[in-house]
Amino acid sequence: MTIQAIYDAVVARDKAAVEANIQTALTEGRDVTEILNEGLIRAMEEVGEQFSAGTIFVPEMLMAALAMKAGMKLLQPHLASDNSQSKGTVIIGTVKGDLHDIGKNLVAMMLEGAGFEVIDLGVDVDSAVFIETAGTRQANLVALSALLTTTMPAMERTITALREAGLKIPVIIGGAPVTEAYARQIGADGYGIDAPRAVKLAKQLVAAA
Amino acid sequence: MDNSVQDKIDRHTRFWNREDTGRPLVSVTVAGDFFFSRHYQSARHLLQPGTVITPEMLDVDAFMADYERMFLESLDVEQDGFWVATPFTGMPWMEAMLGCEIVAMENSFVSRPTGATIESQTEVRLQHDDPWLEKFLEFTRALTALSAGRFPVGEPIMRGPSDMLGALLGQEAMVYAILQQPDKCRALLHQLTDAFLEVMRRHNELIEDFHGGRSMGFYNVWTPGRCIWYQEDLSALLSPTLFRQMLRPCGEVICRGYDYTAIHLHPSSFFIVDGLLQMDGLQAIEVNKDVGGPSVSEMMGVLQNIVERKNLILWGDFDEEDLASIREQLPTGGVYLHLVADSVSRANRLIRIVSGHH
Repeated sequence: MTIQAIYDAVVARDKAAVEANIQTALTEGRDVTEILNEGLIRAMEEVGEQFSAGTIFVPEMLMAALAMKAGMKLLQPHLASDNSQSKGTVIIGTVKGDLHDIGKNLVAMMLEGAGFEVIDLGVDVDSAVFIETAGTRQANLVALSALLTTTMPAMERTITALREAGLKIPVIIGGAPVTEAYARQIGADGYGIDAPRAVKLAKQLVAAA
Repeated sequence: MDNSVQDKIDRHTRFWNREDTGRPLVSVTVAGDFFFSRHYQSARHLLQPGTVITPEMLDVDAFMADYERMFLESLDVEQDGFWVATPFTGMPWMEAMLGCEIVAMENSFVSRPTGATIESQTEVRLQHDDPWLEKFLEFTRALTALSAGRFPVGEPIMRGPSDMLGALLGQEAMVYAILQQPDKCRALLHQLTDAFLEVMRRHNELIEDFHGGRSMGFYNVWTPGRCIWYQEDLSALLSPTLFRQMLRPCGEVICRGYDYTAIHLHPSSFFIVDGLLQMDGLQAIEVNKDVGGPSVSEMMGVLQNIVERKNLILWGDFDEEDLASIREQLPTGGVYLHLVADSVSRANRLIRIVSGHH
């Protein structure tokens, strides 16, 4: 079994093949970190590149992310005792007043695929919940999502509340109506135009912190 | 701008015939913000976050003062379009009629998924005596009476087939369902199409012609015959192939029964434009300039592609730079601008730019 087969199965969005190949790799005693980094994470980077280039679309990316998550589940027991695998902890949620979740879910899955521990707070999340969770879980990054122009102001309120609570964690925002300029205006540390670029940004910000 | 009614009608006719109108046609919404539910004073008391909204909470009579005000405000703007009264545009009507719970947020009303799964959602049927449908038709009747021929009554924002399926199942679940159970989803999408068409049929029975034609609500575009417009916002979650396989057939059914047709489109769904351009029954594509961009100049390639084959309606908060791009790079036939401006004076200034009198 080669790690390349796992990589190929993720890119091909073949969940069953990902699971089968990882089982085989584990049975053969392959290094878990290598499976994770070279099989799953690198494959999701490729999937992200394809999405950004417009060669695949949301359904394909979702299916690849599901395949990756299935593989991750098999690796989890082997990784659990070793926190060094995590690239950091990200708190993610759709802001207060907004019930849309697909963009947020996609970013969450891609972040997991990139090796982050992701705490997904769901939709319609009050700023107080972001603050409490970011504090108690010692988050390295907060990611806010909104799909509606009507709920964008809740992003600013959340960032203001985080800062007033003394939390200096980097915050990134994303969602259909959001722009780079809006991110700067409300004091966010970055803006992800799509899921793959949100992940790149997360890596940069967490590494720089 | 010559604004006799007959001139306006003639310009609209030329627009639909894709003849040169010398400049894009223009209609306007004067709005302080994009929170359209807040434009109705009569709805503001309902905008209490978390409140579950039921049809009897909408007092149709109380809304009439808002409509009268909006109509009178529209007369202050030198536009080609006729202001169109529509059943309360802030309400997710189709979702409500299909059984979704409607909940107030701070600035808008949203629907919650029913909790159905693709396994449990065996079929979709519109109940002919559904209280939300009755409320929608009550608005239509009241607006027709209020108009008394002064303004047209038309269709508000109504969700299309993919939007309705996403509303029922949840958006992410809809994507998986379409991938994993395409035949069942195709059947559901056609049932949702039928539900939408039935609502539009009953709505259209109640409204009267306006100067021999009808009008597309929200965009204020008059049409020489029966019209319909629809949207597929959740096409953004699919792909060109899935659009062709799942949604385009529904759109063709929608367009088949009407003389003048349009689809509303966000830039996030631009990848379906080629598929839309191949739909014979679809006359116009309405493109939103979204708050977060892209700008008109960034969309120009797509807009030019559209206007070669179809009528183009552009909607949004355009600035002077956008209007310059439109004047310089789009033809003056088959193009309609719907400006959202924060004041009458701003609206009139933008219209003068479009008309070349600035």
